[in-house]
Amino acid sequence: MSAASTPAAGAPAGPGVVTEAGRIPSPVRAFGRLFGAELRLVLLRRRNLLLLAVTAVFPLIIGIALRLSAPRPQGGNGAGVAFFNQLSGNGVFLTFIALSTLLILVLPVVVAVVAGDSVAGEAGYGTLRYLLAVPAGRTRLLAVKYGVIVTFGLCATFIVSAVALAAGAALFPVGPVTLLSGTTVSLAAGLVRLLFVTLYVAVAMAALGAVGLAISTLTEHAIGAIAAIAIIVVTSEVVDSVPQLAAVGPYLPTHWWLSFDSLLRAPVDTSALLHGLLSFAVYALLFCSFAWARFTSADVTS
Amino acid sequence: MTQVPRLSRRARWAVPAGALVITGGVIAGSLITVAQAAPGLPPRTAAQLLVDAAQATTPPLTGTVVETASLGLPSLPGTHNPTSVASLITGSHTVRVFYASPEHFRLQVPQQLSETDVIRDGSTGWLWESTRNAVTRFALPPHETHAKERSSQAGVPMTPQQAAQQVLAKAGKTTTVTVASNVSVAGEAAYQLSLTPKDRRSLVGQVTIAIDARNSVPLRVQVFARGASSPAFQVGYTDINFVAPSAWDLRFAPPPGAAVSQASPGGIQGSGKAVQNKAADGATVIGSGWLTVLEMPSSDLTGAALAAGAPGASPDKTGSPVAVNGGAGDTSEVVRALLGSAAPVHGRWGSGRLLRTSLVSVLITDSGKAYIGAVDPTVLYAAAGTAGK
Repeated sequence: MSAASTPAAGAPAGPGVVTEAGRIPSPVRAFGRLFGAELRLVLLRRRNLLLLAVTAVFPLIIGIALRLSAPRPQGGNGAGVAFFNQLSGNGVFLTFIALSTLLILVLPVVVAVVAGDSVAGEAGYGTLRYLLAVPAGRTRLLAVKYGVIVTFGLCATFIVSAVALAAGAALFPVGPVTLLSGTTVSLAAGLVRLLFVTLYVAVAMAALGAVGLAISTLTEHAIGAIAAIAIIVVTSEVVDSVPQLAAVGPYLPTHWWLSFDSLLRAPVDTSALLHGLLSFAVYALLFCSFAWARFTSADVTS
Repeated sequence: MTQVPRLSRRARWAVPAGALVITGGVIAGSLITVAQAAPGLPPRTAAQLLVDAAQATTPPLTGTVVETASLGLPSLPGTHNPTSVASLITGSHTVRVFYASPEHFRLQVPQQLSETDVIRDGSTGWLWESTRNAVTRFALPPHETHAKERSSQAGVPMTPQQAAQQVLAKAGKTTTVTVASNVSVAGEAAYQLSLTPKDRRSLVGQVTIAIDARNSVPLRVQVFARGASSPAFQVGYTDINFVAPSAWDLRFAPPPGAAVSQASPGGIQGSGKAVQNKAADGATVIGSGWLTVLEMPSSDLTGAALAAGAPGASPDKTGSPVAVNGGAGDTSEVVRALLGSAAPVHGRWGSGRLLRTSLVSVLITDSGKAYIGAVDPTVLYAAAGTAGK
């Protein structure tokens, strides 16, 4: 019996498992097949498509609203919206405005819906036990689930960036990008920074996805898991904004999300970036291991 | 194919638990090592440290300076705005330093999704505020700092050793200067000079200055209130590398679309010291050393607050070029909040309101005077008594 086909605790091994495992030469390919099937299922679910569509609409609305309010080109617009003054001269900044705005709630909720639904949804529909009958093992199934969450978060983040970039280019002039430090870099260099900003946000969403996956293994009610993730995000943001609690700030899950602004400084503030990435990695590791311990040891009856 | 031993259900929970314990341990460990590291260095006297510090020229460096103040003030409005005065006296500030020479450096004050920069590139100085998309350009006289050094040296033609001895002798009347235990600041081994006021009426318990052992650069200044174990005010490097910043980072050109304004060097000094000058108009200094008390008409405190608090009193265009965005409005709120928390007091000197923090006392008398000092309130009462006669 291979490690891959080892049935998880609590699930009796079906008689076909051994022969099934013997026919599959590469566990990587099997993983890939399962991942592909799961990804297709999640990405093509109408609810999730609608979520991505709504996510795409937000940058458009923000762009049009800011275009109509027409920031004065010579500055002096106050500090209401971050990057607002730069936007009038450069549409690329719509991406940063959109990302920083949607990071407050919209992107986390999109990730929460998919992450909260990942295990709890299957349990709720009563399909989890059939899924466990697939000769994949619970560990691998969980890995596939997490991979799908990360991919979905990546898609959502890149959709925001891409739509905002397109809308920014259509509504505002596009040219060399002025960084937060007042240094101007070429449009190409600015777009490279935008790519890294988007990836950083996607990593942040991946860490949140791990939290969601862990919560999802705790319940059979997907909506409860989704709400719990959203509450965690909002609570973390509220605590982070209280100056008296500044000491715990750096350890909160949402604290480093907006640190993507470090990529827009000259020179890049790598220490803040690395702190953020370290925080995301620790959160992902902790909650993935929690989800694994829970999922592989729980009795699945539904 | 080998059989992987299956972990028992309970053993599986050891994995997340172990990960949690390791994470907590690493976090706690990093906090403790920061607090306790005391590097071994060859012993030096206070005079030697002063000489080293005076003779050293700051080498090129890049680093991060963090300023933290916890004066024990009541909770203040506007502390969330990192450029506000309120955050200076209650919060924490970060400045990224890129220093090549006195004529070439960049100071970055990063805030969330915005930044304020001060750049000096030869004879040109720049102030960049990303929230306003505004640049202020200063024409600076070259070798300004050198001129200052020369004039100060011309007045006191001595060796640095003699100067150090004289400083120590002069300070010795009011201050105990000792070398405290070595510390590690931003990963650099550093000597620590400790200045302790001899007069117990000073609220300052101790001032420590950490001086880098290799380059004799001051790395950290901490001000402790009397009896406090953690500093009320601290400014120091959290990260420092003695490497020259790249020339590209020290250059600045106003970005296209930014509003550019000019300011003369007199303008900088004027606005830089605006608060000081304003206070100095009607202010007198009472006492000396650690017991210095500043006396001023209390309308300077409250009046400034009211003027600044009036909406549109300092619009961006007419305001002083260095005025930090939003600073004025916050100041008034802060002053009002502070005055609101002052306790009524009276004595032979008269009556008024007293605001006490761990490090500063402020007495506002009903006769319209304000007394400020890092001193025990009795010193303020005495000052008010002598001034009243």
